Amino acid sequence: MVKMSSDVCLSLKNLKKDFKAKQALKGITLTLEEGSVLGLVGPNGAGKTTMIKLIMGLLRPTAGSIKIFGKDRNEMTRAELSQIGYVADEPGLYEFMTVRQIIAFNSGFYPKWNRERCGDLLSRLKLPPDEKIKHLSRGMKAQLSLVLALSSMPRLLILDEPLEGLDPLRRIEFLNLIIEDFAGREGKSVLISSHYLEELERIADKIAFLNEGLLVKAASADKLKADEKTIRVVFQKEPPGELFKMPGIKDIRREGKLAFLITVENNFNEIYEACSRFPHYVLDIYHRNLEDLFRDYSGGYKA
Amino acid sequence: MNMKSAFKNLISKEILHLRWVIVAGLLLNAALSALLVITYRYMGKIVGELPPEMLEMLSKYRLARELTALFSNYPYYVWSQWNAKNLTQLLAVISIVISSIQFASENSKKTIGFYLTRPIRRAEGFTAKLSAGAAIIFAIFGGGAAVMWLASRIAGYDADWGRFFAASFISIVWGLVFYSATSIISVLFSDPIPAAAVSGACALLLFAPGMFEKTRSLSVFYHMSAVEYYVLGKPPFLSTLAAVALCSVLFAAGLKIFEKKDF
Repeated sequence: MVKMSSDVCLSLKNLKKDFKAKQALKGITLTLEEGSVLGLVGPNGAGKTTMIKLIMGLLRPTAGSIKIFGKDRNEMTRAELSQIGYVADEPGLYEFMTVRQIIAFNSGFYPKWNRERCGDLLSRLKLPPDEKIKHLSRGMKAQLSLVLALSSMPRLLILDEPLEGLDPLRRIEFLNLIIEDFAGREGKSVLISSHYLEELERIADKIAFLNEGLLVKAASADKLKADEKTIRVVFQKEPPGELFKMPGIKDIRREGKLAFLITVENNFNEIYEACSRFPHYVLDIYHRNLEDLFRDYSGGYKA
Repeated sequence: MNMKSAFKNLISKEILHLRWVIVAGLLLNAALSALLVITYRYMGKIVGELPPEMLEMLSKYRLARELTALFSNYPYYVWSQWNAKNLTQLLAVISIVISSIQFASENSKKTIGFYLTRPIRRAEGFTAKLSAGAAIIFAIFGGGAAVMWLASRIAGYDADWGRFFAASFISIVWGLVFYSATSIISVLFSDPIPAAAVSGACALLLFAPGMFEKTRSLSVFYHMSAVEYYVLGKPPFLSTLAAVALCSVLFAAGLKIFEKKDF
């Protein structure tokens, strides 16, 4: 986790994107503070990649604004653009080039290119400099893409599903590199979309849930989890209906004849007390994890 | 990093990307040029050895008359087989190949995403691609013209080489008009095969007016043959200027489409 500062690194205001008949983004307003890591979560088709492609200028917004380092995306100079690092879900590296050639090509665009860091990362990740990119595995291509992004010493790193298809060891190594370069570093920010919620929780200060083109919720992972708890209760006889009408209950799921999972978003103590007053066999507090929240906010798994 | 070095970087990438097209184009041009000289030598020999009575008999047929004229006049032969035929046809094919690789293929392989997320403006990316494409076309066909000249000199044939190179320059500039058009088509597609197919159809459409006398001037390929300069003796400036103007218009249109396109 990194120290948050008040400066905004990335700001999206009412961002919309339509593709012919489909509204991919329906007005997203979101900020990423400097020095923080924002995790983007949502089912497939939620609009995560569309949002990232809009930020990177690969798509043109239908409406709304994108500001990076306080400046409109379209008015950024080349020097300002060179402070953004990007790893796409499909790296799209030139397969006819060798690792060395793509590094030479890429480094030419970045005034702050760090050759030493690049060499260090290559040897650490065991990426062979003279190997053609077409001969690298998917995981190695993703790692090379991260090497290119990190060696440009960006202020803002944008990662779109970077962990997809990586084996667990490569996933850990990948995240370690991001933590090394960005965690606790003043003025360095990360926007990362991923389906790997545990890993995301490890590095993100804030999590934003997207579903069907809408921002459902954005808060710190701790706050998200603290805001919602689940009470698991097995009553001895049918509880009165008023119990389930108490304010603060978000969802009730019946798991058996007298067993319930009650999701509470506020007024937790009173609801817990009320449950405990009725004769019961079991009364547990179940701490929700990001996966539960993901399931809730996305309306169940659609992926 | 300044604009010049970034642009140089983009151009180098295009040349590296298209290196096999360059090599294949140069080799093919060299082979065709050598073949033209050899064909002239042997066909010219055959025509020269025909008995007068046979020549008289053949003169009744248009095709035979044209063939006889062709193989007894080397400057005309060079123009008709190089500018009006090989260069025109090969330039069309190579333009389609280059533009399909530069845009539609990059789109289908998702490398365009990598390209455009480097700190460059789309206009710079597009300009670099077209500049590199134009330079490669000039290199391949300029090289082809040079091989044609060299092979002719080695074989001992002479022509007005200044005129030949000027005609080749006109041909290539008109070829760039076609290349600009195929680039626009390629930008619109996210798969190189349909992009190449539509570009091929476009070539046929642009070729068709050249078959009729009244509509000849509407055909890019008619102008690409440089017939008005080399055969009819008209000054080359107007035709070249018209090609440059058309290239500029097509470049501006392509740039606008490229800048607005979602990738």
